Amino acid sequence: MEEIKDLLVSDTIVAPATPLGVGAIGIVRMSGREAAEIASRLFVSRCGRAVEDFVSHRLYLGDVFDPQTQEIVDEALLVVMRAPHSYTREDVVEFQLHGGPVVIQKVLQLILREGARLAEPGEFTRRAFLNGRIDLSQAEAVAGIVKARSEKALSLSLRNLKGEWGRKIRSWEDRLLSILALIHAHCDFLDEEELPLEAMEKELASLIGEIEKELSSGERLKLAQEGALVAIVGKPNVGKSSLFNAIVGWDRAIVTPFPGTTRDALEENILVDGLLLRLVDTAGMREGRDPVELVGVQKAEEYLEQADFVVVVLDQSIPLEKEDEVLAEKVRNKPHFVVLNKSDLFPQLNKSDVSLLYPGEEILEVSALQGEGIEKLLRKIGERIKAEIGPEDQTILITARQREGLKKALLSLVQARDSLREGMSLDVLGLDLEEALREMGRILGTQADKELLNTIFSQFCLGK
Amino acid sequence: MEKYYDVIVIGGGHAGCEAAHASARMGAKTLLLTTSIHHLALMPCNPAIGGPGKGHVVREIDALGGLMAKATDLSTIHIRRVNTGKGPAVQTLRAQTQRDLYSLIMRKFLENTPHLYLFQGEATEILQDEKGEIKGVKVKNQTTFFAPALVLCTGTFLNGLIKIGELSYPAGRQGEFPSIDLACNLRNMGLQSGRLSTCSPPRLDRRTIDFSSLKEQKSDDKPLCFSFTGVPQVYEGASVFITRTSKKTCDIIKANLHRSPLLYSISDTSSVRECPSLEDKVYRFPERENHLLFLEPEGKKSNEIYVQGLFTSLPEEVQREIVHSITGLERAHIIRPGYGIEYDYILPTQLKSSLECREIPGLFLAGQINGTSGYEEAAGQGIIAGINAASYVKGQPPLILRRDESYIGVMIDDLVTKGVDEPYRLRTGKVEFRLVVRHSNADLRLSFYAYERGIISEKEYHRVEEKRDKIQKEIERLSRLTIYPTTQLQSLLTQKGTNPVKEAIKASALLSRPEISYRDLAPFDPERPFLEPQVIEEVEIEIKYRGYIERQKREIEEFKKMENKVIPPDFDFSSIQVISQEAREKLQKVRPATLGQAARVAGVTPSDIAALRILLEK
Repeated sequence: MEEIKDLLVSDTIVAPATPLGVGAIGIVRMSGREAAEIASRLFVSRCGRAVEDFVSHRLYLGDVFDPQTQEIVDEALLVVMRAPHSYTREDVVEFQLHGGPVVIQKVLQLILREGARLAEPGEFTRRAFLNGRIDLSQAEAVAGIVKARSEKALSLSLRNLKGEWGRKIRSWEDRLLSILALIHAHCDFLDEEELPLEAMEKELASLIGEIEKELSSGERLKLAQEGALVAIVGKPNVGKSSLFNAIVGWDRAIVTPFPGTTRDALEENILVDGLLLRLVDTAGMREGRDPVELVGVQKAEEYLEQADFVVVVLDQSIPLEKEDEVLAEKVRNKPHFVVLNKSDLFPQLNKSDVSLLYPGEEILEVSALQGEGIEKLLRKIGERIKAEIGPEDQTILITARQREGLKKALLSLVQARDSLREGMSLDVLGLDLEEALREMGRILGTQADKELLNTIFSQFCLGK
Repeated sequence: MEKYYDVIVIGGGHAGCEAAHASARMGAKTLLLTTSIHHLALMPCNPAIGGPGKGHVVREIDALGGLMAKATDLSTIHIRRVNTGKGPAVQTLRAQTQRDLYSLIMRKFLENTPHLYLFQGEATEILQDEKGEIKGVKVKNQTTFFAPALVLCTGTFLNGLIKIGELSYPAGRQGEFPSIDLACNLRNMGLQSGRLSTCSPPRLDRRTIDFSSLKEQKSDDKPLCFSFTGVPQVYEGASVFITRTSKKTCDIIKANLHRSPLLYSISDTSSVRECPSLEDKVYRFPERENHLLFLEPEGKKSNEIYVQGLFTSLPEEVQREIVHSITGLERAHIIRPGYGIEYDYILPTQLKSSLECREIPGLFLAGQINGTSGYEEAAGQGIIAGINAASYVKGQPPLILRRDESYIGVMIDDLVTKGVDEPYRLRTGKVEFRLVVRHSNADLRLSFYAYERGIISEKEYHRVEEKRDKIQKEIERLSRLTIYPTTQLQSLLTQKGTNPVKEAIKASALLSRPEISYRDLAPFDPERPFLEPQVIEEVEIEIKYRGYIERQKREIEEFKKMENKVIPPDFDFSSIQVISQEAREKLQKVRPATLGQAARVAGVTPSDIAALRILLEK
C-alpha cells in the first residue's frame, strides 16, 4: 500500500503532446514531482540558469543532451510550469523540439531513462481531474478536443470546457430540485396545503421541452463532432472511384475501366471548410453476379442507409437505364446531391430526364478525371452540413455519454409527467424525478460511479 | 443488590427502554438506570407516535422485536393512515396516544422482561479500565455498577438548559434535574460535543377552547394498529382539531422576536430547518401568516390539549397573547407554557455504524445524544444500540442495517457519515429505496435479524415467513388466473373509468391498473383464498408497482457494489496526497468503513472517490 501511495504521489509521467508525425515543432510533456529534476539532467540553457531556477511559465532556449555521451540531441525551448499552476496541478515541464519523429523519440527515451514513466492514455487529464483542476464535464470536453477532428467541433469543445454545458445542466437541476422539494415537503410534513399540480406539470413540460431541444441539437452536432458520413453511390463504372479520388486528391481507390472493381467500400476523412467529412466510396449498385460482388453491393446498401448525405453519380456519356430509377427511389428520403460525371465526354443523356428522376434538385456537372466541378460540389456539401448543424452560438457540444445521460433523464421526466397526468401516486413521481436528477448529476460528475469514470478515462488518447 | 451486569443502559426514555429491552431479550443481564422511574418512556413533547418516516421506524422496531408499536397500540385513542393517495412508499400510520398510559405500559413491559433490572439514580461518571475499555458507571449516591458495555441514552439531559424568554435555568426536561457531572465526564473522556436546541408548545385546557369553528380530524373509520401482531381497532371520541395562526399572531411574534432566546442564539447553536419553532417560521417567512396548528388531546382522562405547530420559547406573557390571537383559542387557558431547551449532544461522526464509539470500545450511544429529534428516531437507535451492546458482550458481530433495507439504517448512516448541525429527523425523502422499504413490509425486511439474535421466538418468526409465503403464492396465482371479457367485467372496467378489455386477461394485469383494486376482482375470482388484509395490501402493492419496485431492486444491486468495497479500519486517510485537503480531513474524521459510505461524506467529491478507489484496488 505504501508503495502505491508513493507512486501516485510522486511518479513522473511523460508523453509526446503532439502527434508523432511531421510537424513544425514537437512537444514532449512531463508531469510529476521529479519533472524539473529530470529536465535539469537533460537540458542546458543558453542564459546559464539552472532548470530548477527557471521562472515558472517562461520559455528558455537551450540544448537537450544525452548525459551519458554528452552528445547534443536538439536545440529546444524548455518551459517549467510549477504546481499548482499547471494543467495537472503538478510540476509540468515541456520540451519544445524542432525535430521530427526521430528527435522526439530520442528525447522521450532519455526522459524515460532518467526515471519518468510513459503516461497511460488520458493520464494527464486524469491527474487534472483527480487533483481537482477540472470537473468531469470539463474532462470530457478535453477528451473532445483531443478527439475533435474538425475546427467546428474544436471551438465547441472549448466553449464546453468553460463550463457552459455544466451551467445549463445545473440550471435544470435547480428547477428539478424545486419541484422535488415540493413533493418531499408534501409527503413528509402533513400540511393540508394543496400541491400546485398544474404548475408542476407545466414546469415539467417546459423542462422536457428544453431538454428535447438540446438533445435534437445534440443529434445534429454529432455531424460536427464525429463528422458527416457522405456516401458516393451509383451504378457500376459511372466514375464513383474517380470522383472519390478527385475529392480526396489522393490515389487511394483502385480505378479501373472494368465494372465492379471497387468490391468493398473505402472511407477517407477530409476537411471541407473546417468541417469533417467521412467520405465513402461504395461498390456499384446493380444485380450482382458473383458472391464477392454481392457483398460489395450489400455493403453499399448499408452505407446508403447510414449516410448523412448521399452523392449520386450518373454517367452522362450513357443514356438513363432502369437501374437509375431504382437508385433514385433508394436515395429519395436522404439528403442527396446529384452529380453528372464525365462532363468531358459527349453527353448521351437528357438532363431533363434526370430532373424528372430527381425533381427540384440542382444537378452538378463534374469531370472527375479533369478535376472540374469538384470544388463547387464540395462547397455545396459544406453549405448543406452547416445548415444542418445550425448556428454555433445556440448549440453546445455534448458527448455520447452526456447525450445518453440526458436521454435517460428525459425519459424519467416524461414518465414523471405522464404519471402526474394519469394521477399516479406522488411517491413514484418523486422517484422518477430523483432518477432524472441523478442522471444529471452523473453528467456533471457529482456522483461517484465507477463504470462512468472508467469509460470516460479510457477514451483519452495518449498525452492528454 | 447485584452490582455486576452485562449491559448497563443509562436513561429511560424511548431510546433507553428499547435498548434495555432488546439487550435483555438477547439474554444479556441488563440494568436500566433512570433518574425517575415515573418518567420511563415519557413523551415530553407531542402525545403522538408515527407520521411519515417515523411511522416506518415504529414498524421496523416492531419487526425487530421492540416495544414501541405494542405500547402505542395499547394507549391509542385516535389513529389515522396518513399520506393515503400519495403512494405506498410514503404511506404510514400516525396515532394519538394517552401520554401517561403509554409511560405506564412501557414500565410494565420492562418490569416483566427477564434479565432486565431497573434502578433509579443519576449516572455521574463512566468508569474505564487502564486500556480504556468500559468498566461500569458511578451513580450519584455512590453506588457503582459494573458492566463491559454501556448504552448512553441521555436525551436532552446533558447540560440541559431551559429557556423561556429572558428566563433560563438548568434542567433535564421541564421539572427535572440535568446531568452536569456526566456531561463533564464525557468531555474528559475525549468525546467531542456540540449544542443543540429544541422547543415544545404550550398545553391548553380543553374546557376553554371553542371547537365550534374548527375543522375536525377524526380517527379513521377502518380498524388500524401499529404492531404487526396487534389487533386492528377503530377509535372514537378523540378527534384532532385544526386551526391556523392569524396576521395578528405573526405581528405579535414579529414584535417580540428579540425576546426569543432560541432565535436569538441561532448564531451560537445551530439553525433549525426541519423542526423550526413558530418564531423561526415567522422570522424566515415573514410574508406567511397562516401557519397550521393541530390541537391534539393528551389523553382520555385529561383535559390537556397539545398545540402541534406552536413550538415556542417566547416569554409566558407573549405566549398568552399568541394563543389568544388564534381562532378557537381566544379564551384558552394555558396549563403549561411552551419552553425551549438547549443541551449537549455528542458529534455522531465519532461513532461506528454499530453506534459504538470508535475510540471507546463498549460505549454505545443512542437517541437525542446523537443529535436526533423525535421519540421514534430515538427508539430506532435504542434498539440497535441495545442489540449491539449485547452482541459486543457476547462476542458477536454487530447488527448494521443498510440504507437499502431500512429507515433505521438510513438514519444511522446519515448520523455517523454526515454528522448533524440541527436536530436530525427522519423523512421519507431521505430514503432512496423507499418503494422497497415500506412501512407495510418492515416485518418481511427485518424480522430475520431479530429471530437470528433471539429477540423474537421461532413461533413469531414463523408467522412472518408464513406471510411472505402467502403473498408470493397469491401473486403467482393472480398471474395465472385468466379473467374473461364478460359484460360484467366490461361494465366494472367502464364504471371504474378504465378501458374495457378486448380478450381474456390475467388477473394480475387487471390489478396493475391504478383504478382496479383486489376487492373489485372478487366476483371474477370465485376460488380466491381467505387472506389477511396485510397480505392483500402487499399483493396489491407488489403487482401495481412492479415496474418501479423492480427498478429499485436493480438500483439496490448497484448500490451494494459500492457498499461492499470495504476500507480497512486502519486505513490512513490523512496520508493520501492525491485528494483534496478538505476530503482528507473529513474522511479521517468520519473514517468510513466502505467506499459507498466514503462517497456520502460531505465535502468528498467524485474525484476523491475515484482516487480512493484506485488506492483500494491496487
